[in-house]
Amino acid sequence: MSTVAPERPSSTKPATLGAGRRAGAAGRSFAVLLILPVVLVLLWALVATLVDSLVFPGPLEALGGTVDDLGDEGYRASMLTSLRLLLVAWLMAAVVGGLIGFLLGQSAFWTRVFSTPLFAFYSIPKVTLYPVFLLLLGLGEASRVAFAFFHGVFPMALLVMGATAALDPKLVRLSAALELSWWQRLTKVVLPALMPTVLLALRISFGLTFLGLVLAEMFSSDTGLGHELVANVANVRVDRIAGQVVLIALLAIGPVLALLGLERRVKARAGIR
Amino acid sequence: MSTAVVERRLGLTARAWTVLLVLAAAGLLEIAPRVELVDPFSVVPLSEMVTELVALLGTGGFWGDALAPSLTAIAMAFGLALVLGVAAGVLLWEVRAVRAAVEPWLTIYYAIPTFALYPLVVAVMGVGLGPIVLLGTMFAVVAVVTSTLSGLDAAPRTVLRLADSLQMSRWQRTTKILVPAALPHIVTGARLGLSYALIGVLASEFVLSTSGLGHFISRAYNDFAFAQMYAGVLLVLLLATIVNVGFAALGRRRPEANR
Repeated sequence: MSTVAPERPSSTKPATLGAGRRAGAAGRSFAVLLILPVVLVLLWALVATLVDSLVFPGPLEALGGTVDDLGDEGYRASMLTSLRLLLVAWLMAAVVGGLIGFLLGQSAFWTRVFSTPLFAFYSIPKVTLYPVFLLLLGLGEASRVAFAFFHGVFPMALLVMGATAALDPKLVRLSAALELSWWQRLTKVVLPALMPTVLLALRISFGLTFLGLVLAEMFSSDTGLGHELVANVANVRVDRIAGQVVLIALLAIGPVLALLGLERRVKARAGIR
Repeated sequence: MSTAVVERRLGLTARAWTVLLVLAAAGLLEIAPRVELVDPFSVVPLSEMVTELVALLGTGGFWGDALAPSLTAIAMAFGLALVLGVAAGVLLWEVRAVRAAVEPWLTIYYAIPTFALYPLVVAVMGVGLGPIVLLGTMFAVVAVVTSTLSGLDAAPRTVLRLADSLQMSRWQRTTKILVPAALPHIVTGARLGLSYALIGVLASEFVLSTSGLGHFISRAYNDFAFAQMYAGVLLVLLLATIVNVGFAALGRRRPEANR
């Protein structure tokens, strides 16, 4: 943020240079990102070879397990159910949490009132509350979605509330001086200023929503990624479980990397302009 | 101080509103099942939860089968995460190349449902204390690593130069200079780590295990012993609150201890 330089010449040269360098840096950081997974997989393969046990599959066996799984119609249905519920719960958490946070953040007073309860709900172990969801909403998809939503909504509300309450007063005065309408103020000043935090909140909320969903599916569900994991413990299909764990990690990493990239771009743009 | 203006809404300060909110929630939890606003079979009034919890805490079996295993696992997971996390943090901070490769994953880590590993660990190691402590440690350790790194980054350069000028050994440098310098951040990380250890242990017990508080709650649910189940849930919430309040108090005491 400290790189804002309004006195810079308006020539496009530095900007394009910066963009090129940024693209190069992004490519390099992506390559750096791959180092740790590659090392971990190699270590995994090494340990699996040394242990040489049926209950400790190597990466290749896990890959075979995943191929078996993905060839199975039941597993594909499970995966699609999980992804659908994850998307619904995450969107709900984002919209509800974002709106609540934005509204409470309008007032420093109410932000102070609600920050302790919201933080408490964010940090308590919510796992053991799942039976309550089952009792109130039944064994169907509703309880799983609600539980996943319950994991994601508090960090969203908390972060957006904090950012809204801490909005730079200079920006507010600027929009007053420019005599912007209510709508212009919202779309041209307030929302862009909140954007980096909203993206961060979306990312954290995504991870927790996914965690909530997997936990719910593990505890009581007849379908879904979490259910498949637990079902395979009884069958002692360790190769399948290992493959499924990797698959779940990959499903989580995709959206998170996309959000991180977006976050970086938004911040860079804010820094340049 | 007497002229300090405390902002009030409807005559109440922000803190009073927070307390009022909590009391209203507790009142709702008591009254809603009684007037059948919610199904009284599914939700037990708060006073019954408390009575049941007091009764449970008076029985030795509950301590032996539920509370002791959970507290042991949480303490072990937290201790391991703290030691390993600080060690890994210092190591990563010293070796820049490794840090560059690992650091982005520290950011991503909590977005991956690490808990998916638990069934795998159980399949390999069997049900028991080991997998539960392992999962709790995995949940907690990254928060400690991250905070140790930021603590070391924030340490003043002069302090680090002091270590060089005193020609300390690597071990002395770590224990006498680096860790104390990063301590304020480590305390923050430890607070998070303890919360995460709590969540990791309880979730493991809840999903798949044969003892512990999490297991107690899931078994009570399966046995339709809802009063016991709610008492267990209440105890979990109390434990989490004690942990949070305790660490907050520790954080407030620290600056004075330094003087």
